[in-house]
Amino acid sequence: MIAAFLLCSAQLGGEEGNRLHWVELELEGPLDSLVLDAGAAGETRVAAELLAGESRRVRLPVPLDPPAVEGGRELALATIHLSTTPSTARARILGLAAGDEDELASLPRTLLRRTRPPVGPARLVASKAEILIVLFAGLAGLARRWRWSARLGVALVLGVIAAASALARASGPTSVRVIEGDLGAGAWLEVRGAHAELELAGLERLEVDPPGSRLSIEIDGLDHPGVVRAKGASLYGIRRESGPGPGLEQGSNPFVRALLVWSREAGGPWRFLGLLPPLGPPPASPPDPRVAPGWLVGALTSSRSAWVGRLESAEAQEYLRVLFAP
Amino acid sequence: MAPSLAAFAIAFGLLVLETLIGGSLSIEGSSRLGLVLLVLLSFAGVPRAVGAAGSLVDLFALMGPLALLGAGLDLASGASRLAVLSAGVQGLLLAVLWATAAERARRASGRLYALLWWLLVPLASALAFAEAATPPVGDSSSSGMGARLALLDPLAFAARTARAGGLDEPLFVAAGALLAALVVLGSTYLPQRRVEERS
Repeated sequence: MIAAFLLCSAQLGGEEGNRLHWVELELEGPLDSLVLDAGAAGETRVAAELLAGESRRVRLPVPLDPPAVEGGRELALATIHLSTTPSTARARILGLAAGDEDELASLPRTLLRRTRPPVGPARLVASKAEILIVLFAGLAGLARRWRWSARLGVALVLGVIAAASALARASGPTSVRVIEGDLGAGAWLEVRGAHAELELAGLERLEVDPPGSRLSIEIDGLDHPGVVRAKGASLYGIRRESGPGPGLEQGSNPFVRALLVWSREAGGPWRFLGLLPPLGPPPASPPDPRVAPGWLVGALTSSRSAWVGRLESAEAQEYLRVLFAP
Repeated sequence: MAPSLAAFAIAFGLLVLETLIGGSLSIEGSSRLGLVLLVLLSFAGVPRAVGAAGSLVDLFALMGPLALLGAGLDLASGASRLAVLSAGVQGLLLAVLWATAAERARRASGRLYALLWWLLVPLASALAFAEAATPPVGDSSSSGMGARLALLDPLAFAARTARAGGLDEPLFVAAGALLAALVVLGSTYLPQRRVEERS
């Protein structure tokens, strides 16, 4: 039974798709708040605060499922239920707004579809010390000469010590920023990853892992960007950006912060270049080898030269990942 | 002692295996508390032979530290406190009830208890597993005998809790706990009534 369960619990990879879509609405006050309910996909709650006689035409985000959107705009609209407070307020969905996703879709897949960084608390496994504690607790549990209260007491104390040791190693939620580049296409993206909650400001695309997670978008005022929340999920917001200054093609660090770099020639292995000073070239002497994070070098086409790196920053984890022109 | 030792060896082995080979193991993403509960509930109610040694104290002295470590690892990995607490309390309640029922049945007549245990634990799990592995015909989802029995099955509760993301949804197994309580009462009082009737 246990073996069957273990076989079934193997994780399966899921397809990723954009979950951030936009609807255009016509609103007329008095209106306190409105909800765009997209069923199982999630909802958008907006504090509107329109006064009587005031009217606005707005564009609001709504978390649709990719299959609903692929079925056509009419089908996607049919999944959205609009409700207002007060219920007598006038609000009308005009249609799905042309999203930035259409323009993002024209970017090469080698740029748009890359491995996303892990975010959120890391999965901890039992340390050797904790294993030894529970093993000792097990041996103590076998001491049948002891009184039952002593055996249970020892088990409880040792179990609490092992659990406290695991809790002391817990890492807090993380947020990650990745600057993705394709020098062949001359295009750059910024990917912001966060656990359970992400600000929507400036985002053009939203990817969620697990892909089917229910999303809750909250907007505090019609002119505010809002935040998206998904319990236990990893959220990745994507937008185009202008990219760093020149210098990457010549092997220099174009950033004003130091950059820890790994490079790879087309078809070759990854090589650790070392810590590049701000706006500077690699050091002359080869550094001791270091291994790049797996997600950063994974699934990056091997037919083109590439650079990956980590920006030195005390505030957040920031990475660079660039494919050079073929 | 033997079922308790076997449960400890399996649950301890799973945690050690995960520590040794980490991400290569297919339980990656599962709840460690759920895994310990799955093993605990698999062995808590196993029918004992008349006169066999074994006690609730053995089971909980051996499995308690593993469950606490599993809960600590889940919390440190981002599981919500409410979900871990809910799974832990329900698992403990079910394990105490099933283990008590097995103990009482061992001292008196264990046939009814053994029959119920075989029906509600291994058979229910096997049926639910077989149904899940069989493609549904028409709109017959979740309507089979296995799915109905799985509502009372402590292993189904533990398996749902242990799977990846299972702790995100607090589960309630009042029906299973109630049935286990009835089994305890039944195995306690039925033999006494028979003795009274004979006398």
